[in-house]
Amino acid sequence: MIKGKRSKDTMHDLSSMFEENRARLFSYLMRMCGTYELAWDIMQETYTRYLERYRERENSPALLYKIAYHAFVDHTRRQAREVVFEEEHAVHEIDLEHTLMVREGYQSVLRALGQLGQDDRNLISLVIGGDVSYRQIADMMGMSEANVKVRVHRIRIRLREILKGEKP
Amino acid sequence: MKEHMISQFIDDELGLDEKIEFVEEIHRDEAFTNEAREFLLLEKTLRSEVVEAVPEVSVPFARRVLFFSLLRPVNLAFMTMAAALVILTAALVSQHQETVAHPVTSHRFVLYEPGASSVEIAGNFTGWERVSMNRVGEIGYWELNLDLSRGEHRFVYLLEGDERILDPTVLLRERDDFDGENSVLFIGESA
Repeated sequence: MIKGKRSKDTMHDLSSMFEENRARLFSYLMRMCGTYELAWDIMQETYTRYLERYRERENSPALLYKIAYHAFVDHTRRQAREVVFEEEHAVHEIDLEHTLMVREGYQSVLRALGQLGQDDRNLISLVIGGDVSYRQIADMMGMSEANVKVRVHRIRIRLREILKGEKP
Repeated sequence: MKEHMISQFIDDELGLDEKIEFVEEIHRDEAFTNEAREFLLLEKTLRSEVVEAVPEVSVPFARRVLFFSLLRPVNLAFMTMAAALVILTAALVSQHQETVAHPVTSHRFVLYEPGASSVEIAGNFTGWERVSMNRVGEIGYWELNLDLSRGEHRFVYLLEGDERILDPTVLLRERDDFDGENSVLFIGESA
């Protein structure tokens, strides 16, 4: 029996898990990245990494988000190194093409999230996605659950301030 | 400090005792109630739909191939209907980057393996089930004719039951969903 056949059920389950989480994972990545194009790239990268490295493990949405976050962090580090060599306006042109894909009214939320630090943005994006518990977030981010409780609320207070400040 | 209980309430992270405490606090303190309401309204905004449409992803197994084996043309009327269906389906799925398969055509797989005592083929067109190939006389060739739809196909040969061999005549290869590579064959219009 070939390996592919032996893993067929596993792959089917994984495929279902990917599909079930696709919309929510994409929303999480939009909140993290702020742009459609980048969120799309990182979602592809996330699924590819999951397939390559973790396909034999139990299907886990928490692991999916962890991989997505690491893919995002890798991208931002790479971009920090490469940005010197890039034409900045070229990147913005791509972003503009997809700006219309963001729902009206959510642009302000993305701008508000963009003002948070990377860890805070990750924490609140995971929480409002509703797929992972405080416990899982604590494990993922290497902090205590008690700290997650307090910090989540502080971030919400901060977001409320930013969004109130945006209103005319 | 009970404020963070509002977030725990929103995130379904309160234990039973904490729920009792939360409800009592809401009952006792109007400012706390207003605060909780305000954060719930904020949460509705934060959790609302982000984008107009979620894009598809192109991971190997996410490529769905639609087979229309029942659409073999048997008469002119059926051919017209089949063509219309294929065009309509192609238009519907093209925005999702899916591979659309078309009516089948026969394809001959040939492999030169003089030392092998058994050669099988497994691909998306066999549902990844092994199908034995036929030895061509005593000259070392193995062959098999299979009906394939137009579009992309992935397959691998298996020698002696377990050794994976890529098709040396097919240059395009792709890492598969499992532990190896597959040959990628494109069956076009003229095939």
